[in-house]
Amino acid sequence: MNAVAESHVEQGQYGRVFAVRVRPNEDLVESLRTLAATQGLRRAVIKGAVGSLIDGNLAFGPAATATKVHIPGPGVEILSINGDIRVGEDGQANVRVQGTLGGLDGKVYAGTFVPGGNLAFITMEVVVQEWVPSAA
Amino acid sequence: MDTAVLSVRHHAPAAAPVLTPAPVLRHVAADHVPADHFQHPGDALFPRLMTVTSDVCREFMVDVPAGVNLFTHLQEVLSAAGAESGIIAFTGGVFDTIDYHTVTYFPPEPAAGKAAKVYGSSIRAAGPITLLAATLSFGLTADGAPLLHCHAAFVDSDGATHGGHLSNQNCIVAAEGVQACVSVFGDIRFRARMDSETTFSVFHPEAVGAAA
Repeated sequence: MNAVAESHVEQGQYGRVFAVRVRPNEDLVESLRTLAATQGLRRAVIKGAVGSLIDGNLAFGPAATATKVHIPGPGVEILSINGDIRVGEDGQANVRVQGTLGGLDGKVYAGTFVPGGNLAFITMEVVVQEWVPSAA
Repeated sequence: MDTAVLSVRHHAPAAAPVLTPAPVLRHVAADHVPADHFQHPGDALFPRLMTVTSDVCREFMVDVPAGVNLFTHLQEVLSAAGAESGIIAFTGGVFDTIDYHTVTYFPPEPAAGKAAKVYGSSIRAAGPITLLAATLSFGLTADGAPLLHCHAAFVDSDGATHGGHLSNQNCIVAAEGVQACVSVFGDIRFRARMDSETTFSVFHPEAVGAAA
């Protein structure tokens, strides 16, 4: 009989909400790592973001062979994002962010945001909410 | 809104979508690709990450009805709910009309008395238009009036995708309606203020109430 993989199920609730303005030339993923470190976040979800990027850099596929999509700016619009922040036992924040971008040509691009590749152009408004597991 | 009129839609055969290659596709390690720095007119301001937190976030589900302008209607709903600042994720919807902008950066020309700007005339998408994803942040202008800021991805009646900054003038909801998940901050305000670094008026988070 085949072994059935077990899901990890965690009960909890949403906690603190963070409204963030990211200033120009700051990276989206790096800013979320900074937020986690400075606010003591262990787990959080990204509720949304509105803003624009100098250039967009998205990727899709397995990390080792990922295909990168470069969307030239300045002024690539963030249309939607979702993702989460998980801080491991080593204190390192694993930030995964996926979403859609609008190019200067009005076309839509989608993928995972490449760390260091998505710098704010004029501003980004990002909203994050903490996830608080119930005591075991 | 007692004279709801459904627009007549002609379902002419859609033109074959024009496929254009993505700008640049190449295989790279999916970690850390530096992007270019952009030099704005003003001095850099600190902190680079402005963060305001609250323990309170109220949630609302809103069905936006047919025939209304999305922005006008949401502003009325938010005002009635006492919702000053927050963020909206849209779960779906169809529009008869969407006007939107893409960015073209025009630097300031102080000698000519011209401020920097990023948007020219709007682009109209052919309806009916199906929403793919959208995010809306809302707060107050410097003068305290409601201000809504929305970016969206959508597909038009020919199957072409579009994305950009929605004009608050001509986004008219179709018969199917538009569905919104609204998160309202308890002790945080988004206030639009002039940013001397970029010379644009943008939302800044501020602590209010118990958190101030």
